[in-house]
Amino acid sequence: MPYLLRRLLYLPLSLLLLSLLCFAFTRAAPGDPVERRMSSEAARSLSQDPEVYLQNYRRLAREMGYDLPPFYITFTNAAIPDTLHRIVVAEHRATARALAHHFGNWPEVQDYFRRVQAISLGLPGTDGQVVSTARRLLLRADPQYVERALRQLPPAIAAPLTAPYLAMQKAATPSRVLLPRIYWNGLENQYHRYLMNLLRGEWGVSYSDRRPVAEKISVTLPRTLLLNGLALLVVYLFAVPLGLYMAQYRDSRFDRWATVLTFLAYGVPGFWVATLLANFFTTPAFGMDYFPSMGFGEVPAGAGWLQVARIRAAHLFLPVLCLAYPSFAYVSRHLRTAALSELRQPYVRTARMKGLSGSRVLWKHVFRNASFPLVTMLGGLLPALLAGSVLIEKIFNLPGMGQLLYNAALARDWPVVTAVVLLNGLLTILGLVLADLGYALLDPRVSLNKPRNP
Amino acid sequence: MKQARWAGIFLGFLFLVAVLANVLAGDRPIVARMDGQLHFPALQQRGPGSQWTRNAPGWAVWPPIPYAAAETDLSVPGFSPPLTRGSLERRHWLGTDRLGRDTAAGLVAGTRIAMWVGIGSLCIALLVGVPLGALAGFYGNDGIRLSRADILALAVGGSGGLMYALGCLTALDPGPLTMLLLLILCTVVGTSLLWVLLRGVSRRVRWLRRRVAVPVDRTVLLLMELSVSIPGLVVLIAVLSFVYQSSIALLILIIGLLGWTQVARFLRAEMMRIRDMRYIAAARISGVRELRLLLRHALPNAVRPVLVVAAFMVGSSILAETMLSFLGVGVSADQVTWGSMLQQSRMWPSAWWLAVFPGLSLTLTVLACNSLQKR
Repeated sequence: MPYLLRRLLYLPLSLLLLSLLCFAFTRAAPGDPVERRMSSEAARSLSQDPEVYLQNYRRLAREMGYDLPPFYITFTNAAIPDTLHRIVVAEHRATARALAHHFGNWPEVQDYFRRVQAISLGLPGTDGQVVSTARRLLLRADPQYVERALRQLPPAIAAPLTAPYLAMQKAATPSRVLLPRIYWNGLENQYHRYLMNLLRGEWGVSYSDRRPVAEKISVTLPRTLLLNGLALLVVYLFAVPLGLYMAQYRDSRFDRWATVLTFLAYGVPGFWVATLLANFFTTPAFGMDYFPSMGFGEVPAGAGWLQVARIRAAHLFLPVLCLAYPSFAYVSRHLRTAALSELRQPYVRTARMKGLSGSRVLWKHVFRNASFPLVTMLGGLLPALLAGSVLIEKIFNLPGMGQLLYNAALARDWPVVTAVVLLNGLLTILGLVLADLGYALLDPRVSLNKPRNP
Repeated sequence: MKQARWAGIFLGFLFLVAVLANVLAGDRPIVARMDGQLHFPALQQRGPGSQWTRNAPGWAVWPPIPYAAAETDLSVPGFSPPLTRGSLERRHWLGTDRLGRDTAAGLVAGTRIAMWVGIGSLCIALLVGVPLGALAGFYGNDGIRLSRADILALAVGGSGGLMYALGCLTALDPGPLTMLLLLILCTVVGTSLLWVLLRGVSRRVRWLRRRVAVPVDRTVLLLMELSVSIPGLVVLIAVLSFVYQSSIALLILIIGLLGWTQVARFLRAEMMRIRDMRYIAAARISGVRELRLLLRHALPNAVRPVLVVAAFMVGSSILAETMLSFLGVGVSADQVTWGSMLQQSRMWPSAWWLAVFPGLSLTLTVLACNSLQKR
């Protein structure tokens, strides 16, 4: 298969895998998403009127698709029915599952569980004591606990619970747990719906403020792109001449100093330097409060472009510097190595003998041939910059996508977290593919079908 | 090369600090004489440390940093500058943080955590990366030939056993370790069951007997491309925020799992070079078995380049850990690390000692690791 085609095939595959990962995480995360979406008034009705609460919960769960089976296929055992997902309340479902695992006979378990559910609603005419026991039993499946709770009730009142429990216990077939079962759920499942929504651009609703995730991202993404784009521009604008001249004046004092400095710059963590700069230059602590300490700057209405540029520069100078310098060192060191090997080629000597000036040879001949790795490096640089901007945005208080991710992760706002992760994955993969494409387009000798050097 | 030696010395020093952390910094003496007996409280770490300061023993040798990392000194105001005298006239050599915790002791404790993270995640990355990289590089796409029956048994039987364990045996509610053992057992049993079955069938069916090449290299490359396209730090933040009880073990596991591609890539390249060398061909002709060839002849010669990547990986995992604890995800809040100290300096910018010293140790560590990697 042609390399490029394979590469393009990997793109949806990786994204699919990432989406699966994100979905699995949202499902496995502690906390009930339906409950978090519920308005506080609806949640309060739990203690006052459980029936209303349950109705609200069911409606919301149906809206969010939580009444569907989680995935296309379910691998489980014979004790679990294929309709377990219809119990929408997550805590109740866990209890029913545990009961089924313990007793292994679903019809009787279902009978018992339905009875408990019905009594727990506290319809008029039922004894208050039974109702409160039933509510506890909805959440507990441990047989010893259940038996103790039932024994504490007067036998006459407990009968509607005890009878199905005993029936369940009598007909128990716990060995069914060992029989495997596979259920095919069809396309109507949670993951399918999640995926389709993602493709349609509906990225869900944030837990914390109920705003659409897509809206939140569309506000923050341009800012992060501005920051990273500027950093990338700085990297290539300055790293290219430095790398080339380091190669040109190899082993000179300039080259030696530049080598040491770029080595240091590559190793010194950007976020530490950012912390230092932010502490020293954006706060009044040391009397050197030269830069504003947060945001991208307010641009007054009707400001000229010069003024806009000045405001933006004041706010973005330090962040872009901190974001760019490790990549800058990396790129210039690589370019130096590439240019050095080009300078040894015979064509350079030929060009010199023809009487071309040193800088002309360097820029016209050597640069063109040494610049191919720069394109592939772009693919690796992009994810590093994106990851780095989480810290840089945090340190300089820039409300970009990194801050969004950080705040959402701390607030356990999964829809936002997964959306940002997916978007980051998309950008990373696109960067890798574009770098490969650019490489092939620039250098006619490169055939992507041949296996590359590892 | 001189550079590499200094880097090695520095890393060795850090390792020593991590090992001797209790002797270097702590709230209990190294040696103390009490009730006519010699005690070594720093080595035992039993009971609360305050018992040694309160009932002053006859004589005692205190650690050079007489505070524990998590110990809050209430006798000094928060963010005390370096050389402040704390309780019992003992100095805070590098100052304290907001809660009055000693910075120098925090540095020592942070070194221990950094070493744990660096070495632990390296081990995990090696555990995953070395087998995959070695197999991919040494056997390529046509080095391993198996009959179709074997491949079917491995793929279908193995995954079937795994699924059975996940679907049915989790219901028995075993502990995590038992579950892991059960998973492995079921995979092995599933594979062998299907293998025995297919062995019988393949006597009749020729198609199953035909030996085909297993594309090991292509599979590993696919895996590598998939894991490279995962944005590392972003996923790390996301994953760690899912867990309520954050622990270092989890951090190490995730950093290691995200880092296996580097090890595998280098080892694969080295193995591809080695497998074409003449001594391998000579050994093969003289009848050395394939597995022995890989383990005893090829792998030992590929160790050096892997060690070089390993040094680099240690540095980058320590950096990742510091970044995460700087953000406040990953390690728990009461644990003092380099990153958590840096974070405190953001709260109180005048406390330069909280920004400079941990950052300096981190930078030196990363630089040392980078310069071990020969360019």
